[in-house]
Amino acid sequence: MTDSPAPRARIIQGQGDAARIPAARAQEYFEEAWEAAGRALVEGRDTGRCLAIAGEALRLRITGEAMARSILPGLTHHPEAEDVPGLEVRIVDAEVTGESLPEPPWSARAYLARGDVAGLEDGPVRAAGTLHAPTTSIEAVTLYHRESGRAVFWARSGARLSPQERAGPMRYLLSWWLPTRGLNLVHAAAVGRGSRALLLAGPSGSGKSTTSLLALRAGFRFAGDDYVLVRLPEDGSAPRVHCLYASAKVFRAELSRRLPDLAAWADPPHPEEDPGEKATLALAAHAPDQVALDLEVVGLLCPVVRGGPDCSLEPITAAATLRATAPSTALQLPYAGAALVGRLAELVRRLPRRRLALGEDLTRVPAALDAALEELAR
Amino acid sequence: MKLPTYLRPHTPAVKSEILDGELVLIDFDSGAYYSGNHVAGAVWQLLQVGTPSEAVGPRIAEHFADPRAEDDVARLLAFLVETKLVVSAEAPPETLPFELPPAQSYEDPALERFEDMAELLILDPIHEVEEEGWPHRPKS
Repeated sequence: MTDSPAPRARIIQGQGDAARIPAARAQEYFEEAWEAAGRALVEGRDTGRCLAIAGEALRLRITGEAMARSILPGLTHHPEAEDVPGLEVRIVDAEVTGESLPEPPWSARAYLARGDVAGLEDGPVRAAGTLHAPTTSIEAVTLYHRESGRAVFWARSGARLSPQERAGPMRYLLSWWLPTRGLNLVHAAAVGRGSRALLLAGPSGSGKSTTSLLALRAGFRFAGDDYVLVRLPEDGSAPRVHCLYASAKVFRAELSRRLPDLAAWADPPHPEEDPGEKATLALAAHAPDQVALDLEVVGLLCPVVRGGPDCSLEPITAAATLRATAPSTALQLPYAGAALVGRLAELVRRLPRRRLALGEDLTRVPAALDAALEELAR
Repeated sequence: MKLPTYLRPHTPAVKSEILDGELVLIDFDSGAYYSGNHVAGAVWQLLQVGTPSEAVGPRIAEHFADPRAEDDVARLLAFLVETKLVVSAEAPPETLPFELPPAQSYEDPALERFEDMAELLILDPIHEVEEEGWPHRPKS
């Protein structure tokens, strides 16, 4: 055990910039931003769409072409929705419309490093700012009104939206809304053959992204390399995984060295991109048949990088498996909380699991995944 | 260290799961998470059912037939209190009956702590606003 406790987030009751925001004030602010977004949509020409994500309909109303070009490619693998949408999102491009986000009832000092706004817990509204390295400015603010199924995504500039946001648009908003429909964002990759999939769980650096990309190159179905959607049916039937974002991210140096045949799928470097940043592979455009909208999950694998040439499957405890995915999922997603951890624990209890030891010879990874699919699906 | 008579998990800030006897804890206030073996899991479950804090060590020592357990459990309970993973509790109406799982070999119940996610919960990394009103990090 280490000696000193970890630092605690500071929520200061009634003082300073992290004071609790009264529910009525949060509600009032949301309505103000919602109305302002509505006016911006009229001025900026609504270029929206209705999509069904894992069968759940949402309506995106988008100001202008620049924002649509940034937001939609990461989501267009989802079919058009036919049902009444359960969520309506008003997406505003401040640069195109000239409309600034109405001043919120919290200061710039109320954001946590993760992006959520301190002081709104348990209220009717959730809010977060999105900030992706290497930029130092919040590029978008998301507001979500839980009870009415309405949201606002207000960005500084649709044309200059970061590569990370383009690859995974509105992740926080979807992590708040989709659980109300029985779907959970999970920090995991997922690949499969036919109708069956493996979830690859592990913290950043464990090898799950590289493993999923090697699988993609070998022709596997692909449901995500970073976040996937998982449904855990209450009737005890098999969990399902759904591709949320048809994109994958890989360091450009790694792409050149290990996956040169996928380089043509990568977006060009962003003008402000740091040389150490990741490229985004647009799979909906380049490998649409491999994007998996709905697969049955037959097992959990926890990759770990080891020495030696071979890949192998090893036993792993349920607790170690939960530790591989629950903390990064629950702590990276604002408001995810204890309920999500409970669902992940249930997922771990239901599924067979193995540790996937990754050797230096990465050509053996696809065969190891096939072996795992066969073994765990029995 | 004098412990409170009763301790309880610090919910809702702390989420616990017991899987095959092993303990996983996530502290949503600090961003730290913890891993504990089957002995730590047994201690946690005894606290959950309202066992008085001074009775936990003897109960574990008897169950695992290992006298080292009393001192080890005392250290663990002090750590749980110090890190606010547990807090003082009211005396429960009754201690719920709880059968410890079949005894395996005894191991020190010390928790392993992980803090790689903790920086996500730091408040106020952004405290300047540009002319257009967008918050940003200071240039330092």
